[in-house]
Parts: sequence; structure tokens; C-alpha cells
Amino acid sequence: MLRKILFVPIVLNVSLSHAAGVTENDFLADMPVVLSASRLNQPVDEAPSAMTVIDSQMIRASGYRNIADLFRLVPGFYVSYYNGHQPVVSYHGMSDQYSRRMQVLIDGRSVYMPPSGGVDWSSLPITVEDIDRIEVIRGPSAAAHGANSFLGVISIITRNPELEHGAEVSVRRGMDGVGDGHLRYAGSSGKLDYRLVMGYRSDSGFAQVNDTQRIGLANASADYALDEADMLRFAMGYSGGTEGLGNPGNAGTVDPADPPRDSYVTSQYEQVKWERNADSGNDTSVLFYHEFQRLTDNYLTLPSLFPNSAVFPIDAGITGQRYHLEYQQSYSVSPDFRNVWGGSVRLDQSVAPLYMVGQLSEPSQRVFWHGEWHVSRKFLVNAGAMLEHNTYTGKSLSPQAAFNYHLNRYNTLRLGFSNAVRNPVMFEQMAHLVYTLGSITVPRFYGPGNLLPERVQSREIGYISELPSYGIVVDARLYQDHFGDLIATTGPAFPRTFGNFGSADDHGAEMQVKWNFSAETQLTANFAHTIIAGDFPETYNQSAPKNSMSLFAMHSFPSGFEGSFIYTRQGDVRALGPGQLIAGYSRFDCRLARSFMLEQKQAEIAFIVQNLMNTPYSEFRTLNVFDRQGYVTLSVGL
Amino acid sequence: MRLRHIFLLLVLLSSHAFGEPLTVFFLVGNDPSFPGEILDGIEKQVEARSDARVSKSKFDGAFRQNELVVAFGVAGTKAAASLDPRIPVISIFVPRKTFEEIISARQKKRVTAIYIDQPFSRQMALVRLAFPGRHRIGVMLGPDSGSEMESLTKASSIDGLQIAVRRTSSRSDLFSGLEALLKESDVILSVPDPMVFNSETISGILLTAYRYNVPLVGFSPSYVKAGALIALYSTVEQVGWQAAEAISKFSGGGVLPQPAYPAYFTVGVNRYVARSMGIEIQDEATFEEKLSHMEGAP
Repeated sequence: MLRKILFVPIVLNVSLSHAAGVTENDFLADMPVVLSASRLNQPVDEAPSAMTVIDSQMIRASGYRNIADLFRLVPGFYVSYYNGHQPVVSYHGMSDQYSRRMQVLIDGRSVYMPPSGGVDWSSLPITVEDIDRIEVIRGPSAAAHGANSFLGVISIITRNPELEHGAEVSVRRGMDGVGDGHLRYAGSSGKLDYRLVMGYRSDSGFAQVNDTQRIGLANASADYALDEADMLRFAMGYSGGTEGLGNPGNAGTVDPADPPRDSYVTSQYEQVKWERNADSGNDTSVLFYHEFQRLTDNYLTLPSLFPNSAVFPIDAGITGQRYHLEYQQSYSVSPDFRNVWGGSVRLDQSVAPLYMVGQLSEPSQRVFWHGEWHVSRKFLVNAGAMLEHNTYTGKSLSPQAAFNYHLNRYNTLRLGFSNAVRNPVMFEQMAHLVYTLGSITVPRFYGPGNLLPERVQSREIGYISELPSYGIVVDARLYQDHFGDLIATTGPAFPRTFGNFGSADDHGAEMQVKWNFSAETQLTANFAHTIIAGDFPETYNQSAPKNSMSLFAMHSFPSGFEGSFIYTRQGDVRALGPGQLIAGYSRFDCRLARSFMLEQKQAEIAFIVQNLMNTPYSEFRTLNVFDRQGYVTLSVGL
Repeated sequence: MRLRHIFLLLVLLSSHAFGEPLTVFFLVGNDPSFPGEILDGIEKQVEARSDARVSKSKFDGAFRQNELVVAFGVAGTKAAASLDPRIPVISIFVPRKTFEEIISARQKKRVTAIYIDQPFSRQMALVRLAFPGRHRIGVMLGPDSGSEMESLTKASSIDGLQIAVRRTSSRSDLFSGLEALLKESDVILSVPDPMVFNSETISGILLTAYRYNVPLVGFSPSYVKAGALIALYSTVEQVGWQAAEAISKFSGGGVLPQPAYPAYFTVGVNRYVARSMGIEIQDEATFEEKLSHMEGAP
């Protein structure tokens, strides 16, 4: 009897369980900790430094196909091109063709590379389409962002595999040989979310320069939820292709020692991260990654180099790689007092036979802590420090403190103090660049091996005003940076030797205004005024434009049209090293896009014109003339 | 031996004379996975706050005077639905909509419920209290929650809030629908639907809402832990209080209360998320007090 009674509902339950839909399980189920401590951003008015965020909407609306160009939308940034495939992204100048005074992170992976300390933006195995957002810290921030966070920090966050589904293909064709393709597929299987990308980019660069690039790339990321608290994240990527090289000489002539040729670049990374998210205040992570970049550049000098028409082989190849293991813990005493601490060990290696002798290895270790303490409702203290050790320069400490005072709900004042160091890159420390042409040796650069780290002492007053009812956020700051032990070479005669020769002072003002007029209309304005006064031997004074600005506006029309424009204007600049005096310029870029259904697939076609008014100007050196350029992008969701 | 028999007889007689304590049987149906700690928690409250005692033995399905069944969850409620129609049942941890689908109007005379879900009116009131100035409430409805539209609209009109609704029928269009919804919402109110809210989708939902700086109102403490800014729910203890009251009422007059939403509730706040989103929020107790006051509780 009893069995009979209980048996019937069992059968019923099976058939009803889907029809019934909502059950107590929906209410009682455990959920993973999603907004974990390290995923929660500090609100702009509580951050210890000035910060600019470029979100996915802005990235798309910009129409830019090179990641580097996006930094035109950050106050105080100077974006230029040493050649078509070597962008130079610097903040507050003080950069040659390798901008080596910034930390650049992609998903927490440091991509500025030994031996040059710069970022090879064009061979990165990711594309603009893969980026979800970019956070730029303006000012030193070593305590929170690690080594090399000297002038600023760029942190690129790629798209989250959990948030995309299905495939999308996009192709781009345009002037100056622009031909790009991007294919993405994102899916999930149980507790695994993954995202796969194949991409291709090509263009012929500047008209007078041999700088054509053709790069193919692939990347993959996968997140696997072990349980409610633990997550494993994997990422890997590869790129490879050819890039034109060769110094065209100032008059457009061919330099027989540096003739036009194709080089081959490859870049790859592998990354795994384990996260344990206890709750929104506490989490722990272990990150391991390997980053590898190789430039293969074997060529022969031209017969015209010597009267006897002798030719000599040159191997200008450079290989750099980095292994990095990092532990980090976020620990909150309460929402009013949060801490992050951790440590990392790193091994940088490089082989560059023309530039340095043998294989160089540079192990380094660091520990860091930073805390955020809400002393009262109005007053907030951020403090932290990083202690770093490396083989060449020994120990160094980079402390940071910021005091944020909320004048009222909408207005905040910030006082920031920060000291940071930049360790010499391998080339500066160990350079041995000597051309051997048969019996002739031509020495060019030497590293002394005993360089000290560069130091910066930074002070700033920041002001943040948020007017939520108008959608306006204003972020302004006045800053003063003092640099010491700057690494430079004696010049202009060769051979040159690196040394801690210079000091410089940099002060100025920056302002950023974001106006989210409505969900359809957004405006951003950036202004920067930079004054650099530096000692001999480098001409730091002109390495950043004195005044620069950028305006960005976008509007979506109900008809499926979307329009955006960017206006940038900057003063004269002369970058360090091979940089030439470049007259100030202004430039209009615009994008018009229309979304539509293509055989029941969501599609978008976008027309982009850069330098719309066709006022040619030069990038980095006078030869790199940028005139009007246009391209079309078609993307279809499959 | 004889003495013990006499004693037992006396106990039985006296309990008849003074009103024998009610025996409560727990019924979980065919769901052996129903959390044991919930059963223990309810047992504790029922025994502490009513005169009933909870039987350790399994319910045999037979009708006897002075016995009552507490059915747990959907499986328990389904099992209860096919019991002898004379057996009184209090169904707990069951969603209102599902309860109404399982239990016919005729059965409601002997089967009552304390729903697991909170009334929309209370959720709307919480939104008003917690987020003054945020009037547009976004709701993502799936196949199992689609029919809640009417109740939602009704509850929101009383509070002067606007409801924006997006419907989804598959996971693939969940996130595009959510993004569209976020653009026209100031707050997201989560309405349970296994297609929309589950342990696999919650991550994408919370991250997307966070990116739009739109707070999410959850329906369980797990949501607050996961990253919902605020949630309204009843703890096991609170359900136990209400169950004990219903049992007492029944043992007093043989009448079950009407099926009802939880009378006692808790507000959970994730202060880390609130701080990061730049949203100032009062403390949990203040919300609970104000909500109770608004509902006319003493």
C-alpha cells in the first residue's frame, strides 16, 4: 500500500520535472563567486592614480585597427610610428622607438620584452577585436602593477569567453594595402567556456618606407570552473609573419648597411591561472606564463657599402623570452579595509648576437602589498610598496600612497605620492653592438654592466567630479615628476656607452571629460599639457608634445546607423634616439557603420576614414608621412 | 513490565484529555538530495516554537488523527498531492507558481504552503528603498518565468516603477537580450528561471551587469556571495518560524492557514560590490525594518 502511494509520484515527477520548471533548487543552489575581490574595480574617485578606461564600445567605435592607436584617446599619451609596423606608445614622452618606461599587461601578462624593454605591438598574437577593455594608469604604480610601472601602466583585458557565444567573421580591406581578417568562435561545454581566434593583418605601411607587414595569428582562451570557488583559466597564442625592414635614409635613398629586406617575426604565449574566490572580499590566485618573441633578420650588406663591392652577412636576429610565476592574495578585513599582497619570480632571457654577447639571463623576484583603507566616509587612504630584486641592480623599493578626500558625493580630491624605479633593460646594461664586416669592426653601443635603476619621484593633485544625473565624469590632475639616474648614451659620436647620466623634471596638467549624454550618444575629451626639462645628453624637453588633445564622439541612430569621430591635435615633438623634429598636426578620423541582417545573420558594415581632411603629417621621422587612409570592415555573426 | 504499560496508558489518556501533541512527518518525495541541514533546521524551529513533535520515522501515507505532513520542495509537494485527501499538509520551500501547478484548487483545503519566493510587491519595495532614483527595473524572463509578466507589471505599477522585459528562449540569445535590457534598466531584478539563472549563466550575467554598472537584485544568499548587490530571501530559520506558527494554528483549531509568501525575510547586501559600483547603500537591518513596517508588521 505504502509503496503504491509513493511509487506513483516518482513516475510523475520524472515527467513533470521539466514542465514544472522552477524548483527550490533555483533558490538553494550554490553559485560561483563571480565578482571576486580582484575582479572588482575601484571606483574612479577611490583609485590611487588617475585612470582612463577604453571600453569595448569605444574600441569598436574608434575604427582603429592597430591597438597602439587606441592610446590616442588617453590624455598625455603620444602615439607615433617608427615605421608602419613599429608603433611607439609613450606617456609623457622620454621615449625613443622602444618605449621602455611603461608596464604593459595583457590579462596580467607582462609583454614589454627583453632585451629592448619595449612592446612589439604589431606582432602581439591578439587583435583589436579580441580586446574587451583597456585600463590605463597615468603615473607610476609599481606597488599595484609590478616592475616597470614607471611612467604608467597599460592593462589590456581580452574578451571573456563566458560572455560570447557563436562565431563571428570580419574582413577589412582598404588603402595602403590594408587587408585584415578575423574569425572567432566562442562556446561552452559544461563547466568549460572557450574562445578560439584566427586572424590575419597586413598593410604596406608608409609609402616611402619598406615596412610592409603580413602577420597571421591564432589565440585561444578557456575557463574551467572546478567548483563554486575554484577556476582555472588557460590562454595561449601564436603569431608569425613578415615585416619589412631597412633604413631608407633621409632622402629616401637606400642605406647599404641597412638595406630594404623582409624580416620574420614570431610571438607566442602560454598562460595558466588558478583562482580561488572565497567571496567578494577574498581571493587567491596563482599565475604562470611564458612569453616568447623572435625576430629573424639575416641579411647581406649591399655592394655599394664599400668601394671594393664586398658584401657581408649580418645576423640582426633577436630572441627574448620570459617565464613568470606569481602568487596574489586579496584579503579584506572588512569592506573598509582591503589588502592585496603577493610575490613573483621571473626569468628573462635573450639571445641577440649582433647586440649582446651570448645568452643573457636575468632572474628577478618581487614582493608587493597594497591596501585600501576607508578611514571615514569621506577619507580614503591607498598605500602600498613593491620590493624588487634582480641580478644586475640588486634590491629596490617602490612605495606609493594616495589620499582621496570626498568633498561631497560628487567631488573628490586626491593627493598622490609615488616612487618607482625602472631597471635597465638588457641592451642598456649589456650592449655590445659591434658590426663585423670582414676585417673591419664598427663599434656602435656598449653597456657598462653596472647601471643603476632609473628613479622617479612623482607627486600629484587630482580632482574627480562625477555628475551622475548628467552622465558626466571629469578627471583632472596636476603632477610633478622628478627623474634621476636616467639611462642614456653619450653622443653623438659612436661608439656610445650607456650610463646613468641624466635627470629631468616633468610637470603638467591633464584633464579627461567623459559625457555619456545618453545610451546612444557618448563624448570624451582629453587634454594634456606637458613640460619636460631635462639635462644633457638626451633632449628630453621635446620628447612629448607640449599640448595635446583628443575628442571622441559617437552616436547610434535608431535606424541601425552608428557614427563616430575622433579629433586629435598635438604640438611639435621630437622623440629620443632616431626621432626627428615633427611639426604639430591635427587629424580627423571618422567611422560610419550600419548593422543589418544578412541572410538572417547579424552583420555590420563600417567605413573608416583616417585623416579625413587629408593634411599629411609625419610620424616619428619626417619620412613617415601619414595622409588620408580609408578602409571598410564587414563583420557577420555566424 | 506491568508498571510501564500502565504508565504508557496514562500518558495516552492524558494527552487525549489535554490535547495530544501533534505529530509532524517530513516528506521529501523522491528527492533524497534535499539538503539535510534544511530538514534539521526546520525540525529545530518546529519543536522549539510549537507543541508538535517531529517524527523520526518515515511517513507511511496512512491517515490518522493528530498528524500533519510538512512537505519539502517540489518533489515533496508532488508526493503530498497524491496522499489521502484527509491528510493535512504544509508545503514549504516550494515556488508559488510550481505549487499552484501541482496542487489543485480542491486540494488547497488540506494542502497549504509557505512559498520559497518573495512577493514581487516586497521586491519592488526593496528596490525603491535601496536604489532611490533608479526607476527602470529590468527583468529577464525565460520559458518558465514568462507567465510572471502580469504579476510583475501589477506590482511595479503600485510602486511607480517601470518594468522593462526581455524574453529569452535559449542560452545563445540570453546575453544579447541581457545587454539590450541593461541599456534600458537601472536595476536588474532576477526572477528565477532555470534557463536564465543557473550556476553556469550567473557568471556572465553578473559580469555583464557589473560592466553596465547596473545592480542586480538576487533571490538567495548565494547570489549575494556571487556578486549580486542585494538579495531578498528567507532563511531556513525564518521559514521554520512560519511553519511552526502554521502548525500551532492547525493544532489549535484544525484549520490550516492559506498558502502564503514568507512572513519573515532577510536582506543580504554585498558591500564590496556596492562600494565598487559607487552605490551608497543602507545596512541590511534598516531595509528589513522598513519593509516589515511597510507591510504593517508590528
